[in-house]
Amino acid sequence: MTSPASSSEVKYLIESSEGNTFDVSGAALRQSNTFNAMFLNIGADGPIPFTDYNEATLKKVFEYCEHSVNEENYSGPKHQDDLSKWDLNFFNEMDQKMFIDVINASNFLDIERLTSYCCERIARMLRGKNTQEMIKVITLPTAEELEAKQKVEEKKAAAAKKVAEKAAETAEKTETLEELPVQQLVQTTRNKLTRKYLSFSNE
Amino acid sequence: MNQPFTIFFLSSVALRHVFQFLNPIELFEISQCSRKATNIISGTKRFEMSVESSSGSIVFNNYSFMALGRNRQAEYPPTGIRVFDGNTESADVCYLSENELLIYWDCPYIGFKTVLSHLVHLFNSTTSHLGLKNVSMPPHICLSIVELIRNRQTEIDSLAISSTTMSVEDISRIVNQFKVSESLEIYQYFPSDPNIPFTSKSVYISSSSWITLKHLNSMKHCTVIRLRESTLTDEDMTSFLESWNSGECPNLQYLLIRSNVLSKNFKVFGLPSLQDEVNKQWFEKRICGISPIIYCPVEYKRDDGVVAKIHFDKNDGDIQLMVM
Repeated sequence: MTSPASSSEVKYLIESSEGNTFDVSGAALRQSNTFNAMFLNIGADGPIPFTDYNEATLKKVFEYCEHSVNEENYSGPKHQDDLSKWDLNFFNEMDQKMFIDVINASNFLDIERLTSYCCERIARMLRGKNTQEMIKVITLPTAEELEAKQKVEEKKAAAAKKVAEKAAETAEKTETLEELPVQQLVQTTRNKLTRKYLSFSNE
Repeated sequence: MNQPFTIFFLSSVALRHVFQFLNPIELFEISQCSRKATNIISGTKRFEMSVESSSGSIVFNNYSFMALGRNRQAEYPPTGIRVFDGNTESADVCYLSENELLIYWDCPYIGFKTVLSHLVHLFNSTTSHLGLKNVSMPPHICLSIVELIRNRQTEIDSLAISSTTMSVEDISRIVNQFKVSESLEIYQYFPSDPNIPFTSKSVYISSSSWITLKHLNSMKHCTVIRLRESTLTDEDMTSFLESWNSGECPNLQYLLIRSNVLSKNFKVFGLPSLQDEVNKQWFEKRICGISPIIYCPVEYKRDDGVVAKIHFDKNDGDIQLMVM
């Protein structure tokens, strides 16, 4: 589905790292500031490739977005005690690997509410602890693990670049309709993605 | 998620989000676990700190790190070791409360500087208050602390100095390093003019015998002026108060001059007396972080309608003026 997202009924196809595609509503997708910057006004020609994240992770992220479509606008982090039963279940049923993948994906997609809740949840594990106590609740990666992670990050940065190129390509196609705004939008997109790319490569 | 959490598998951007939820002491603790954490914290968090050498404390909001000598550790025995300054130094530590970390050093002065240097870099901090009021801290340490802070800023809200070890030149050098915006306090005797600029809203000098009318006139922009052990004369005070009367001190809210050379019958503005012996009232006002009190004053109304309470205590040689 490839039309501009002007109403919540619009569905978009999302492509995962496995090459699988699935539907997400425009309303859910609009919670992603990355999506808003790249595709909201110009639409997408074909599936949107978020191919640095797997299907399970993306589905989990957009499950959250679909659920919070009707919630009031995000206005800063909520205390975990104020989370709804649904939110608590959502977080509690994830294993650690999925939780980390969801944070990283949510962070890339710039979904403020989900990122904030996840990060606050991790901060709670560390809160009030000294170094020795922190070491008990966190695992420090080995040099090999860090190296492997570095490679993954580089791969993700390349994927992010691909997404940007796709957005730019789509923008060029719609250029005749809205020439100036689209060009500005693409430039904004490129700038944003360059920043993301830089932030990944700097790790 | 009961097994240890592989937090450093999060992207740096996500870790930055996590760290936003932690206080300065928690951030210090996590920085001890990983260089990556240190880099992220120093690239993200920017706290303002208050540095006070008399207590050996470095305070961020309500969280304090205190450098103490080892002789104090019997009171609060160490519970761990932390590393400082790029892992080159280590020290025993103890939590006094969840907001206060005590750090023990063989030499508390060097320790204080080491902790300060570490935290300045970790939190990429600027300093809002610098108190060099540890009278016996060696001058070279005081100067290197100033240098450390000066490398990151040229302005500071508040500066307080008291030292028996520093020379007039040292003090003058320190004060001239910063533009002090809020409060300058000097608890030091100078045998001669130390050539200090008065840029702050509030000035307090405990031994102000070197202050002349020229210096006082350079404080006309101040909100609070407090000078003790002054040698200002009746003529000096009359001249300054007349300046205020003609509107030349637009911000002045409180003035206290204690001078032992003022005559016992000092008067100004044509008032018959500067002490109300009948209505023994007192007035207090919160100004620039202090709450001065003025006892038995007389009221004076300027031509422009500004009302002030003024009082002269002939026994102490205290002149006080409080704008109401």
